[in-house]
Amino acid sequence: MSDEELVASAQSGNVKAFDTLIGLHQERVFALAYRILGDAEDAADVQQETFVRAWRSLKSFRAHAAFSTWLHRITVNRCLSRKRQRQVELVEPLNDELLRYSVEPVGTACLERAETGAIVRRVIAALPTHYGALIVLREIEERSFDEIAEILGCSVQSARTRLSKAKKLLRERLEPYVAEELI
Amino acid sequence: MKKDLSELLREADCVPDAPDCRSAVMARISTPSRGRPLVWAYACAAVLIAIAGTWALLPHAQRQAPVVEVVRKAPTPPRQIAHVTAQPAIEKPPQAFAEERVATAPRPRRAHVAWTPPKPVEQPKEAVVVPQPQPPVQTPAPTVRTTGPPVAIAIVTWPSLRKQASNTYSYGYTSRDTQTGNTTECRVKRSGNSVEIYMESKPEASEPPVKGSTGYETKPNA
Repeated sequence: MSDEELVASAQSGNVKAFDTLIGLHQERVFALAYRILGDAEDAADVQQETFVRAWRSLKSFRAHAAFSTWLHRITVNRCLSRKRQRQVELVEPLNDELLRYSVEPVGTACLERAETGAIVRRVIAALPTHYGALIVLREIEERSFDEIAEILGCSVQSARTRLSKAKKLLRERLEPYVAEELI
Repeated sequence: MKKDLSELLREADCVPDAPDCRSAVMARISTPSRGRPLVWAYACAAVLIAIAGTWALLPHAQRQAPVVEVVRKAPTPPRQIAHVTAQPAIEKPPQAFAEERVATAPRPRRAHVAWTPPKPVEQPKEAVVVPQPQPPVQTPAPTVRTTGPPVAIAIVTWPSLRKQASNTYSYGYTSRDTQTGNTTECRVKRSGNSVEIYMESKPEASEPPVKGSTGYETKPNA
């Protein structure tokens, strides 16, 4: 069954169809939340909240956009709300995370990659409200600007402008940690 | 090896396995929301508050007044003045008042006059005082404040300072116009800084017909 059919069935109250929809989309929802928030537990919470909210407002869903886009919009909104609650601050040296990677028996390349990944996640999570989501959607998940505008509820032009600002800020904040790796 | 920012981000991207949230979500959506009854309670409370507020803000005139039965009284006949003595058309006030002109008032009306006692005229100490009869001190025209339309004008000249020594001073007279037959009663009372003027003008009272005249009729015996 396609997304449209499953959604139509779920809208008429079929819980089984909605369960199938969750199975199809939960990984992408979790990945998006994890990339924006940089924390697995928070991402899992957001994943649950997203599907609960989607079920409650499923009747208001109109098929002018793809179901996945609508779902990711809910995900981004939940992430931003959680970020506001948590007030993530970029704090100093990320020692805990680096220590955790350094004690695992992994190769040098893998360790470097893990270290860089941890730093990037923390820096993205500490970016201002929409900037983190923009970086994730465009630079990591490589979505089109139309889709990004749909998810963030803004115009394509606004998404482009904000993305350039977000990239500039991200570069400034990453440079102290990965200066030798960046062009 | 140096990389572009986008490249670096993609290479550093590492997402752990997603947990299966289906059972948790199903459990949450199958139980009724606990917030719903509260939402209804809040909505009802808001509606009640709005109704009470609207009722409180309504102007009193729009509220339905309770029906009150009013008993109409028969109009009282005009009082007859027992003894009316013939007086000159314009009665001169007593000498204590230098000047007083009172316009006839159609209805009794009370006026409140703000009064300021006149300042005594200071004279130089070394000046030779020649005893002369001093005219009464003219006070500025008093301000008359009434709540109704201006129907009466009173010009009052106060007596000399010696007469005003006491705090309370009152004066009254009754005048009768021989042409129209109207009787005007005037009373002026001052206490402290306030002056109360009471005036009442009454039409000529019809005197009972004299026995033997055309208007006098005896009642037929039953």
